[in-house]
Parts: sequence; C-alpha cells; structure tokens
Amino acid sequence: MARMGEEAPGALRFGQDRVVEWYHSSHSVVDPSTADPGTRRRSLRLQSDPQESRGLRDRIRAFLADSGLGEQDGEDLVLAVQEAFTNIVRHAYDGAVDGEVEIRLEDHPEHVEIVLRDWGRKPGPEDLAPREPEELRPGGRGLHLIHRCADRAEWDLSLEEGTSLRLVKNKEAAK
Amino acid sequence: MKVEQRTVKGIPVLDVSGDVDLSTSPDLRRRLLETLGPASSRLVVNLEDVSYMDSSGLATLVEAFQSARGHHGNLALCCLSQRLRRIFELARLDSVFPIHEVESDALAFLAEEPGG
Repeated sequence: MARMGEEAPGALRFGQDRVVEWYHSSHSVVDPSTADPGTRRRSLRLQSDPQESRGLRDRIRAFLADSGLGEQDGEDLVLAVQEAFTNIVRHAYDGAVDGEVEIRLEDHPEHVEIVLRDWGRKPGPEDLAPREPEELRPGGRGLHLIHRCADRAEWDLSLEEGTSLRLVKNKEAAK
Repeated sequence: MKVEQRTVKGIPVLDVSGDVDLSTSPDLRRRLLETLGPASSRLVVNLEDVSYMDSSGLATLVEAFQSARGHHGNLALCCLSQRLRRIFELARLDSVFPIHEVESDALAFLAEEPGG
C-alpha cells in the first residue's frame, strides 16, 4: 500500500494534491498479525437502503466520540461516509435496497480509517474524476465532498467483485 | 425531516427541520417544487432546525434555486447553523445561494426581487 505522498502502481493523479490509487493486488485492511494493539476496531454490516442513512451516521458518530478526532473533523468524516454510502446505493447497487455493505472502522493513534466495501457494480475511472464544484448543477457533489472531508480517499477497483473505498482522517496532533 | 409552509408579507417560507439526506431529500424536493411556479417564484427556505444535510439535500436546493430563477424569481436561505454553513462551504455553494443570517433579511432581499 502506498504511503502518503507516494503513488501506488497504476495511480491516477487528479489535481496537484490528490491521488486516487488503484491497487493491483487485493489488500487486507486489517492484518491481525501486524495490527497495532492500540487500535480500536468495529465492523458494521448494512443493506443499501437509503433508510439506513440516519442509523449509519449515528453509529459512526458513536465510534468517533472516543477517537479524539475534533468535532468538526468528526462531522466531516461522517459526511464523507454518508456520501460514500450514497454512491454505493445509487451507483453500485442501482437503487436496489438489498445490496450488502460492510463498513470497517479503525481508530489508530494518529488517524481514523473507515473502509466501505460493496459487492455491486464497479465505478469506472471517469466516475471517480471530481467535477468542478462551481458548476451549478444539482448532482455530482458527493465525490467532491468525499475529497474535501477526508484526508485520503482511495478506491480499490482490483477486487474480484465490487469495490472498497478507504477513507482516512488524520487527528489534529498528526497533521 | 419535517417541512412546514407559511406566508410572510406575501412570500412563502418553508421551515425545514431534521436531517436532509438520501432518504428524506425526495420529500423536500417535492415540497419545494410544489411551492415554486410561474405564479410563485420567490421562496425563503428557513434551515434553522436542520441538523444535517448531504449532497442529495444540496442538489435538491440547487434544483429549486434553478427553478425559481427559471421563473424569474429567486430563492433565499436563512438561519443556517455553523455546521450547515460549513457543509455549504465544503460544497462551494456558499457563494451560489443568497444566504442570510436571519429570516427578516431573507424576506427583505426577496421583496426587492421580481417574481410572484
């Protein structure tokens, strides 16, 4: 996995400061053999139903309450997760409400990491290219918000089925 | 989410409360587009009691704003919480909408605008 500032193999660069990485081998988010024992984890499973949105946000907030992430950073991350969930509902599962969604939360000493996994249709690179936010059109702001609200947003398109999106928010002291 | 409508000095005001997200924005969209039309193209949306909004809510407001402008009117937002204002800033919509601190300013702004 590429570190901040490095490019993963096959990475596409969007703009000066943002790299969207395509991993060519599947990666495990949590490897128990190397996992930091100080890391707090939680896993959620839900369906791709818009009605899950409120409960999802509440559960993310409950997890973040003990993370040490500031209130604004925490709410920004909640918004990023909501936007990622919206994309899964609308695009990966085309509005079907029974698609499977797994969300893994990890509270590391210096950052919080949230991975959203679906088993629906993969986005194409053109779908992940952020649009100009100044454009006055109703839709298309979700991706922009994901990039604004998370310090890192990486899509793994190499999975046999579906997609995972890794969101990272650094804690204040680590910035 | 709840949406209630009242009229102040001939201008409709929608009071929105709760969370505007993927599951509730279709209802807000319906209410906004019902209110706006050739005969009523000015609208204040009071967001004082909105605690959360995502891109589907923002898209709904952009669509209503375009509808009002299309009918030669305007749409003004007021009373955004600090958090909501940040969401508009993150989406770079804070300079697109007329946003007022208090409802009376939004009403005064629209009173100067054309439209029914």
